Amino acid sequence: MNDGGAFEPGPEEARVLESIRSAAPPRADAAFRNQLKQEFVSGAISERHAVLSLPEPKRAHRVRWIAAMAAAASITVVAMALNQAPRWVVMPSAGSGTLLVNGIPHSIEDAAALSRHLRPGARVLLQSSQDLDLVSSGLLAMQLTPGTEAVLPAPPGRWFGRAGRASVAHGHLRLTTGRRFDGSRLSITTPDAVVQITGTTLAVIAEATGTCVCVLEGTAHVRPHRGAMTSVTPGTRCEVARGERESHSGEIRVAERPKLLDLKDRLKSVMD
Amino acid sequence: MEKNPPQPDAAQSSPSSVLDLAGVRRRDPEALAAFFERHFDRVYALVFRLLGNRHAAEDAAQEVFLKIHRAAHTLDPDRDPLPWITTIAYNVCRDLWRSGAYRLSRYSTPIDDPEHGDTPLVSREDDPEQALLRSERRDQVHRAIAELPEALRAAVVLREYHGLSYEQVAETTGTTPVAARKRYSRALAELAKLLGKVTV
Repeated sequence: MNDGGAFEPGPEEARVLESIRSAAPPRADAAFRNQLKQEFVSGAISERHAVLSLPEPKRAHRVRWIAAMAAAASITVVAMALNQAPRWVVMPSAGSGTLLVNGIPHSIEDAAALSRHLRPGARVLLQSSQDLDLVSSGLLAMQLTPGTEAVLPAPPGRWFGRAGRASVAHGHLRLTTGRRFDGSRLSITTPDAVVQITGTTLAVIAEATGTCVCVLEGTAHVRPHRGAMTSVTPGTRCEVARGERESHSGEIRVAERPKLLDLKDRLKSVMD
Repeated sequence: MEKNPPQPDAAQSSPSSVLDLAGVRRRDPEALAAFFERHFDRVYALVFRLLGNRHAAEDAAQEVFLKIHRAAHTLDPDRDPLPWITTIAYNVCRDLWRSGAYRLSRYSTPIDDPEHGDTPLVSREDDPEQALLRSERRDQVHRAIAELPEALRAAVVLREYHGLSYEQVAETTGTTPVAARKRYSRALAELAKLLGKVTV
């Protein structure tokens, strides 16, 4: 028989073995032995319940653990599902053209079909004759102008994960926040700066010469990539020139004010 | 192979082939009585050494014979029932271990309880001082074995006291012969450490 290989005990182990082998076997109490024998022979032992119902506590324990873990997993899944913000919905546009979603062109004329292709984090490029409006119900509304290339943000969650990120490579992105945005944060990165918003209506304009942020209402914070943070108050703008560390402030661009007002009035009602 | 292979307890090593196993299958009282006489001491010694105290061992022994009685009709009369019995006894002890430490802690009788029934291997002619030393040494070995982790304890008890090969130990405890040998080796090393702390 294969005995698993030879084992050579050392002196200490040999001493232990000697001690073990010299011990006499334990003997049961004679009365216990006789009673058990009588029950075994007569069959009485089989008529009573098990002496030790041992495995049950373990099984019950295991079942409780499994049930608790399943319940926790279910709660987590439900909470994550409920936490998800509404998806981006494309509003009907009067223009014609395409929206490239991750490099794949989709006609902007079929808003419903286009909405199905929009996912948070998707890179989009608008090739159209008209602006395109996107709404995440109650949270955010965005307007892309023709030629704008951006990465769509994940709208902030309802209860947790309440920070979103987007980026604008070039073009105009106008944005207004809804009632349910309160307490959330969105950060928009351009080639020149990072714009932080917590509830506002503003335009982020990424041009070849730099980035301009025009704020209609609320306050935005603009930080050049290698510079200090600046607050941009309602009715003002902040410009960061390409490669500059400093930002410059001034009045909101004249052309932006009516467009932002229109966005706010038109899309706030849709959102809320 | 080892130079000094372990021997099972002398009183428990008689062959089972003379037993009327077909009668045990039929639950014939005479066959059951002979079966009990043949195997009780071995079962009791095994569960006592695995569990470490008399009360737990008595409960476990009852459980083992209950299981044997209920499963008697499945006994193969052409095969030695000893591995089957050993596996049942080991499984009862394993279930007891798994049921929680509190069960063991309820049995507070120490291993060196004078009632535990061990008979020292001391002849009447021995020097009383030597007899005392041997008795003390034996109790220390029992205590040390009881302190081992269950897997190591099972390896050393099954191999040393019940004469099982590594393969049989592996089969009984649900592991491989190599793992059984390693456990046995580790058990001896642990015992050497535990016994090294006390001086007799």
